[in-house]
Amino acid sequence: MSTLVIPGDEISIDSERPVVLGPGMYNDPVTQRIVPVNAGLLNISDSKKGQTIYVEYDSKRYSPAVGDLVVGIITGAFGDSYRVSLSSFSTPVSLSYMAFPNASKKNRPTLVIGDLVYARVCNAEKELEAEIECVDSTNGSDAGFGLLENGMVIEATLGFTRSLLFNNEFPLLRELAQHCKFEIAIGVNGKIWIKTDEVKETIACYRSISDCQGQPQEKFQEIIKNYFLQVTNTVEE
Amino acid sequence: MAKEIEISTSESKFILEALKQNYRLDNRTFDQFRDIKIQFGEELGDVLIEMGKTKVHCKISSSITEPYEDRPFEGLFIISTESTPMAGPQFENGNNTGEDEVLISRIIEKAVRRSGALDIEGLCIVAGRKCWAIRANVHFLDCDGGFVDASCIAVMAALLHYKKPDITVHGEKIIVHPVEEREPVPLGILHVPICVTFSFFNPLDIEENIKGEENSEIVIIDANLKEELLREGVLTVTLNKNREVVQVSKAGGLAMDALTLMECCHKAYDITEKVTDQILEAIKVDNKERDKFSAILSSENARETS
Amino acid sequence: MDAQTGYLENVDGSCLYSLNSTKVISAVTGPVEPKARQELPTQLALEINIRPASGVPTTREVNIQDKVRAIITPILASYKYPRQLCQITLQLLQSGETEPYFHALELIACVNSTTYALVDSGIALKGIALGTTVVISKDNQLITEPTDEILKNSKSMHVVAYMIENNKPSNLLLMDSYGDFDENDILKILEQSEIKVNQLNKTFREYMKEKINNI
Repeated sequence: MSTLVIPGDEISIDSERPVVLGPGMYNDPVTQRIVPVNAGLLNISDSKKGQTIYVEYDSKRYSPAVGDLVVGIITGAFGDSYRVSLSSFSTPVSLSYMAFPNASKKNRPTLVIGDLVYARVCNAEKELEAEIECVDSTNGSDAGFGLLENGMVIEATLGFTRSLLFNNEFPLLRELAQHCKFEIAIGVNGKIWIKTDEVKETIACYRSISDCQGQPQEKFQEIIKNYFLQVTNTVEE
Repeated sequence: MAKEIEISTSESKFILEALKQNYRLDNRTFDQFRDIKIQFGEELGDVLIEMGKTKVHCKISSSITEPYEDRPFEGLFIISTESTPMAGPQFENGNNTGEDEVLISRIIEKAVRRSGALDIEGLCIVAGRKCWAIRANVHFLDCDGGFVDASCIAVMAALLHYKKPDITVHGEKIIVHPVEEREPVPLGILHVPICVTFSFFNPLDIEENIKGEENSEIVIIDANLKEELLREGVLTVTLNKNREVVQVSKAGGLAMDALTLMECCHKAYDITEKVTDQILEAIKVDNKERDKFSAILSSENARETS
Repeated sequence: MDAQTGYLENVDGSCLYSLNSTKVISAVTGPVEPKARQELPTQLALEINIRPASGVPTTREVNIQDKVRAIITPILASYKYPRQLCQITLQLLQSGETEPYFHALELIACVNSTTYALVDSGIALKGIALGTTVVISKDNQLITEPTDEILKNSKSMHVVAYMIENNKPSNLLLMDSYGDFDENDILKILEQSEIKVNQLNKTFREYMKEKINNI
């Protein structure tokens, strides 16, 4: 069940049992009140272990949270780590040389400034610089992380990228797949990396994904079809 | 600019590659100027220009002041362009000394003020004593490239739209008639300059001063923000409908030859013609609307308030 | 009153807000990396800039800026973002009142517009801030949301802003009064403005509901 909440609304919580606060919820350090801090749909799930509460809301700027999959740009190298930007003007995060599969003191990664990486947020304390890693430290696998070569990046709202990544019912990728072969990396920091065999296909994907934002799902098919028709037509001319 | 927008190597490589294959990200052809939307505010001289996602607002204000000592027969005309973080976080507050900001304001200044688009002698009231000061306040609201072109359109549309209060001069005394009392007077606009910006890309990375057969440089009109970040050269041509070249501005970047320049001017003329007509048409429509409303409002209000 | 959020593309939150003849755009960016001199070790730094519709910012704009800051600071969950910055830029498009004598209408438009833009940006808020202008006319009538004409002919004018938590005004954030009035008037004004702010809150909720349902 989900209801609309506005920052500052009272939430009924069973205070006897443990509560886990997700995004959009905040425990005010002064008043000790538990309140939503964003406007969106409230989700409460109750299990034997306790209650989980979060607010589903859409925004543009990303704040790192542990476990998130992100697309970042390498902006520099500092000592034993890279400096990575997850969104322009935000505080950069760090990516240690050791956070790669098979990394050792002698075996250094070879990323350069301007490269794109797909990574997982592994440390996100608000007081500290956030850290990301190109290997899943929870199980040691490389899980498709690392350098993203060529391709193109599409910027989207955070809510939209979450739908793309987590909602299996979301029709966009399925529709795209009808038209071309592609590789995709979806970062919940609002960056979607896509790569296809040909420039015109990437262009069509770029325009389709950008345009489908904010449109109802029924329209996706038509939008995508139009863009693919456009690029195939211009070539024939 | 405070900090730059970060753009990855993959993105820049892709945008260039797409240009080589004749594609632009936003579905335009190389010579296509974005569609312009002109909206007028409640007050006179209040214009909002939308060019794709770029938004520029311009507001004209006027006051009576003393002319400059060395120019007793001329009024004052000031264009103020200041960028704020509203247009994007890359712009810094109160710091307009960045290369881009300075260039934008200089080009607009040259295109509109120094080209004599506004009849400043007509702003003189009493020679050497009193004159009108017209101020064009340009506000950059949202930046997706093309600030110069959009601001120029905004300033010209606002100047054409604005009307200053009527005045009567009795010797040294000046009576300013409120707008409700006497129909205000439009400004004297001598011509309508329009800026068109060309961006140059050199995907092969070979510098050529004399363009040979192999030359593969790409020229596009009205670049958006991402294209602006990657371009290697920029040219702004200012023209008016009378086929007069008001300004050619090219501050460094890729070298270009005379033929390309001529070609650019020709392309710019077509756009100038179209845009000028659009502005004039929009002004005409708005004037009509305003007349209609003033006729209805003046009679109704008078009865209600009294 | 009319509000439109998400009006601008390049900032994180924005709102085009108009009330009578006053029109303002607000833009919010944050949390972003601050400059060293802005950085606060434990909380979110706030940068507010107000730009007039014509001319350059004067002490009048700085005055409005300080009042907006006083109203906005308490609603931010600022300890959630240590060493971060929130940039708020307000651009007046139409003043709607006689400059430079008044600033009541602009101030309220700025506050309400900023609230919409902050919610749009997704920055954590402890509550929302909404306000209204109330004037006492020469014949002792209370008028909310006055026009410039009413403002000019008033005995006193009052700017009142409340913090709204749990769907009701919980805290008086600012009361700014000019003119001739007594204690009794103040109480009446507080009562009247609370009613108005409740209405504004309702409009705000309806707007957000519609916006969220559309996604």
